[in-house]
Amino acid sequence: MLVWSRRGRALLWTVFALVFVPVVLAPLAVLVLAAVAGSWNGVLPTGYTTGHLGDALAGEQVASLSVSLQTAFLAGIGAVIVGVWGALAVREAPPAARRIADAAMHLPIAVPSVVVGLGLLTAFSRPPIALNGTMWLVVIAHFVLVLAFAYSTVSAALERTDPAYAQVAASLGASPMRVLWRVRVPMLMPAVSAAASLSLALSMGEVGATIMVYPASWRPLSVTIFTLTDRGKVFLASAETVVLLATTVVILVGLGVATRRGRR
Amino acid sequence: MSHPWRRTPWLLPPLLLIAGFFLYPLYFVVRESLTADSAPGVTLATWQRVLTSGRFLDALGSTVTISLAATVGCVVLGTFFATVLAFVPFPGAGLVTRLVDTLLAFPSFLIALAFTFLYGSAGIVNTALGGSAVGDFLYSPWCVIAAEITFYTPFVMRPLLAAYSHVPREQLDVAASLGARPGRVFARIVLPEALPALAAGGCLTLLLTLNEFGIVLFIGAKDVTTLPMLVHSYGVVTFDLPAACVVAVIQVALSSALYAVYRRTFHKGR
Amino acid sequence: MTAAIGLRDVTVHYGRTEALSAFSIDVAVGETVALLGPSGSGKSTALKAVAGFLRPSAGSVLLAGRDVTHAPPRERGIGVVVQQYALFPHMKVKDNVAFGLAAMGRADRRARVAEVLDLVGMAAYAGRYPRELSGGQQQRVAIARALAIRPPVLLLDEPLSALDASLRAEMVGELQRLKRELPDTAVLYVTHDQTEALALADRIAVMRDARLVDVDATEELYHRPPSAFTASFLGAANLIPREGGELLVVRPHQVAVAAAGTPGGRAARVTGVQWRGSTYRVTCALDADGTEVRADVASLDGLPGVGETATVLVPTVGEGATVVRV
Ligand SMILES: Nc1ncnc2c1ncn2[C@@H]1O[C@H](COP(=O)(O)OP(=O)(O)O)[C@@H](O)[C@H]1O
Ligand SMILES: [Mg+2]
Repeated sequence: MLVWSRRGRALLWTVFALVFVPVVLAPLAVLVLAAVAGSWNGVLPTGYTTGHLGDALAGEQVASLSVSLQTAFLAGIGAVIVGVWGALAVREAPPAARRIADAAMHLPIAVPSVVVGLGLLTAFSRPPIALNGTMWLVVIAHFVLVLAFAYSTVSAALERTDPAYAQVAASLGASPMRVLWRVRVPMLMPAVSAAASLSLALSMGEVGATIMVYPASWRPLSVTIFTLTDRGKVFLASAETVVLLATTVVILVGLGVATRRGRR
Repeated sequence: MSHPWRRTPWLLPPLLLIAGFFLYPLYFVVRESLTADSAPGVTLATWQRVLTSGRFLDALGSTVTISLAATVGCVVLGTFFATVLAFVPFPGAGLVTRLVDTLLAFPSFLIALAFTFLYGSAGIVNTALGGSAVGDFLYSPWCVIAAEITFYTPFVMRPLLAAYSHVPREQLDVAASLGARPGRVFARIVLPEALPALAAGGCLTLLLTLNEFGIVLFIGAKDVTTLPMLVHSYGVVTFDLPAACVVAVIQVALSSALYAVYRRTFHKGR
Repeated sequence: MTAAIGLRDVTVHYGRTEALSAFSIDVAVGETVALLGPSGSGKSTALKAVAGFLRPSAGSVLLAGRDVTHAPPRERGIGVVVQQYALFPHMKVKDNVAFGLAAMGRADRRARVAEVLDLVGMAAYAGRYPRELSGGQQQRVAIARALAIRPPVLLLDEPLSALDASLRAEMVGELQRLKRELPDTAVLYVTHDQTEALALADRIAVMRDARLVDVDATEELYHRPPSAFTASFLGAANLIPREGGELLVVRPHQVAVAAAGTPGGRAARVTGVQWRGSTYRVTCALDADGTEVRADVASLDGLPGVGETATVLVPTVGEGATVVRV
């Protein structure tokens, strides 16, 4: 305890509430309110409706949600596999190679997503590899952007793992492959699950690179939300955002439960 | 373990993917920036045109000021929030911490969207205070700064809370029992322990706000253009690809320099 | 007979630091050798060199006469128990123990797992996960896992350091029993605790600053320590300077304290008294040169109190004291 007096604590908590509520809580609450607002002329909505949420789960919008899910799934799986592979390989490499490779794997974090999108657009809009107008440019963009985070999560966990586990397994006669599959990867599962969750969440909300490369036939939800906002359909956009967040949270909770089951 | 160099080839697949999908496109960005519609071959014409345009200089200025201001705000607010949550916890502090963690995984544009309801001309604040109490706040740089502070404060709080968890509670109790006032305990015991984490969080926030795009795009203020916005509008709105690439190269240089400093300072152990 | 383990001038570097310096030792078949030394003296490093977890920058490692210096751990067939046990957290006890038995048939494997779990008294816990076991139980499972592959060589790195004092005493007894049941297994036992080394080892190798200081049969080393460091580390001996640059080695229980002026002793002053249950430890400073001498006495009756002058009675070389050079 840092503050002992009752008055001091009460004062501190009041200030905390006065800052935290408008800065952090209010935006989230407002968004949810807007999603169910029928009309909004006063301080609070004057009527409530599930109409926007209904629209958000119909037609074009639901197709967009499905595009987002497929993109997040493809990019996430790829990023987790490559991230785990990279983390294990970097860990085994000699110090010099290790430093360079670690920096390279982290590099996309430093670059704005719009630039990643622009790069893919310039590089893959011409032979030998022309991917413009296909879903693959979107998937690749998301893969590049979430890979660094997946790698970072797994490699931090690997850093914390005692090398004694792998050493003991080897001394019991296990081949490097067996050590990898029976000991190292299973012990990394919590980090893998965390990396998958993070990848998925980031991919679902990605706009910068997506807006640079998406074709009309493959429009993720985040871009749809922007288009709606741009056209002034802010209530539907809010409802769509709530759908996006809810879907993400449901999948994350599911992933968490599955991981815990798997460990038991 | 035994033959380190023999294991190095395992690095190749992930590094090739990074090279193919990240470095190769960046190379094309640089190459494209050296072309111009007006002149064939390699030319600095586009660089000259962009660097001397008021639009670019404005964008560079506002990108840097917005991100500096937002970072300062995040560091101040984040330190306050984290300190209260860790050392003067109230019932439900755990829940708040979890909410903050969740916020990290949310897309930034949701804050911008919420701000239009809060601070728009017919928004809640205006309605509550009557008339146009906040004026054109929504379309000013201040609004972008406020939105970025809201969104990025958790990025400062998380490393700070992790560092705080290493401060032994007994130390605070002993200091208090020796008669030190809360402010002194904070300055002498808590802050020194947390300073590296605070610096790391601040540095990361500076980088992320420099690169922020979603918030600026969604608020859509005409007078607030940042470098990522400029890349977007040159690239897919006016289809001036060479100009977009020039801005992108400058942005990448800026961000990677900052990232290099960040890694050198905070990843020495690696 | 060829030694089960042989280290020949093994040197190990971690970057610039030399963690093991030209270290040589042999462990015979069926013998237990304790590596004893303060923390950071290179004991674990020596053990890891035998297990193959690191590669020496010089010297060679022999197992039953075969040079394995460059062989990976899995080709060495050694049982290893590390400090924190490293039980695989995602596997049940029986799967941990069966891990090294992949080449066996199913039935044989199951029988072997049951056998070693029985040996360490953990048969009832086969279906548990490591996190559901106490520290002592985890330690038994770690030993069972190492023994399952019938290793000719067993390496134990401070196996009792994670346990509390009473459990440690009990486990020393367990390890003594195990040793009797495995008469052909060579054991290298790393510890910084002299009581474990004295109770378990046939021979003790004392280490300090990456080097071997002394190695000898346990009793011999205890009663006739060849160096001052070994004498003080093993049995907390008093080192009293003699003429000719020599030190007299005297255990606390061999020293007597009497009233000042008692003939045949050395004048001193009592600087402290500690009650240790069965004995009192009286600390004195010799008047001659200030050397601190510790004596264990059964009773304080008739002895001077703290701060008073006293006489310290030290046995001579003929009476059980030994001598080392400085
Ligand atoms: N992985 C390592 N990297 C660098 N130095 C190490 C490492 N492991 C041990 N050392 C150093 O080597 C020396 C011997 O360590 P160790 O063999 O673990 O000692 P002990 O087991 O006797 O406590 C110590 O000085 C220690 O700091
Ligand atoms: Mg050790």
